[in-house]
Amino acid sequence: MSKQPDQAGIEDIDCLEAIDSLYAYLDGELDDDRSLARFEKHISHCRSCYSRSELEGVLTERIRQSGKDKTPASLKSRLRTLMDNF
Amino acid sequence: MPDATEMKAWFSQQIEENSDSLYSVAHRLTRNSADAEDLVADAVAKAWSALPTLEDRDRFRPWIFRILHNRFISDYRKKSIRPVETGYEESTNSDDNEEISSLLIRQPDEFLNWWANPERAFANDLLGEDIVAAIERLPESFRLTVVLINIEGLSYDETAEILGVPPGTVRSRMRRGRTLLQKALWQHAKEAGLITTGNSPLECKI
Repeated sequence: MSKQPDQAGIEDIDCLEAIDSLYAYLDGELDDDRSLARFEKHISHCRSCYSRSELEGVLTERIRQSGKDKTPASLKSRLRTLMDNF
Repeated sequence: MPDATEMKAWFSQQIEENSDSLYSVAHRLTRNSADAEDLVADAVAKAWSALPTLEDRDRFRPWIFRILHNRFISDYRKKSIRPVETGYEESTNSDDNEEISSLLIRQPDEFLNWWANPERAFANDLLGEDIVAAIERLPESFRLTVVLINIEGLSYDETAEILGVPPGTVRSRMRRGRTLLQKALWQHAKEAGLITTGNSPLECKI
């Protein structure tokens, strides 16, 4: 795959670079426009990285849904007592 | 300058709104409910005494998570009851990270085919609890990074502030932690009979 910039001046990246950016992309942390454009350009034509991105996107959502523990009643009561004494 | 009554009311409200998050992170650090409760109570007491140092109220969450994490390191880590049972080797070696990434791109088609097959729905049923178990088995630094970002919704910069590491380290811990998670889920899928052949995508050799 050519790494020459396209008409918009966005050069391609290889799969290794794409994987390196994948989690930052999924977490909304790929916030510089050029990095974002390069990543999105790569997954627009690389089936493997696109599939990887889709898969990891599902996993990210499943992790988020795995959720938090609920505060035990004993701790809630303890915190109330603690803060009453501040 | 807010008065003491207003400060206390605001602080109490913040604790109430964030208690599930604080307990959840504490539980994943200590892996013990009694220690987690003690850790949260200690952190809340410390946070109250340090409240004048909080310059921006919008930064309350990373601020108190950092206090919680520091309390864990100073007072709880050594007495953590359960040893780390990961089976993973913790490494911050950048070469190792590159190797993992390199392995990832060696066509994991078998894994992707499994993911897309008709058993996927069944796999998803199991994955909810299996994801929790897999997170539990991650080394501490990766576990906490994944929890803070993917469950608590904190940014990489906030997570870096909490852990006292550069943002680039957070990014590499995310990549490695998530890679380890995927590997663990693959292993579980094999053990559960959801897949019957092949290696983890991390071990595929083509």
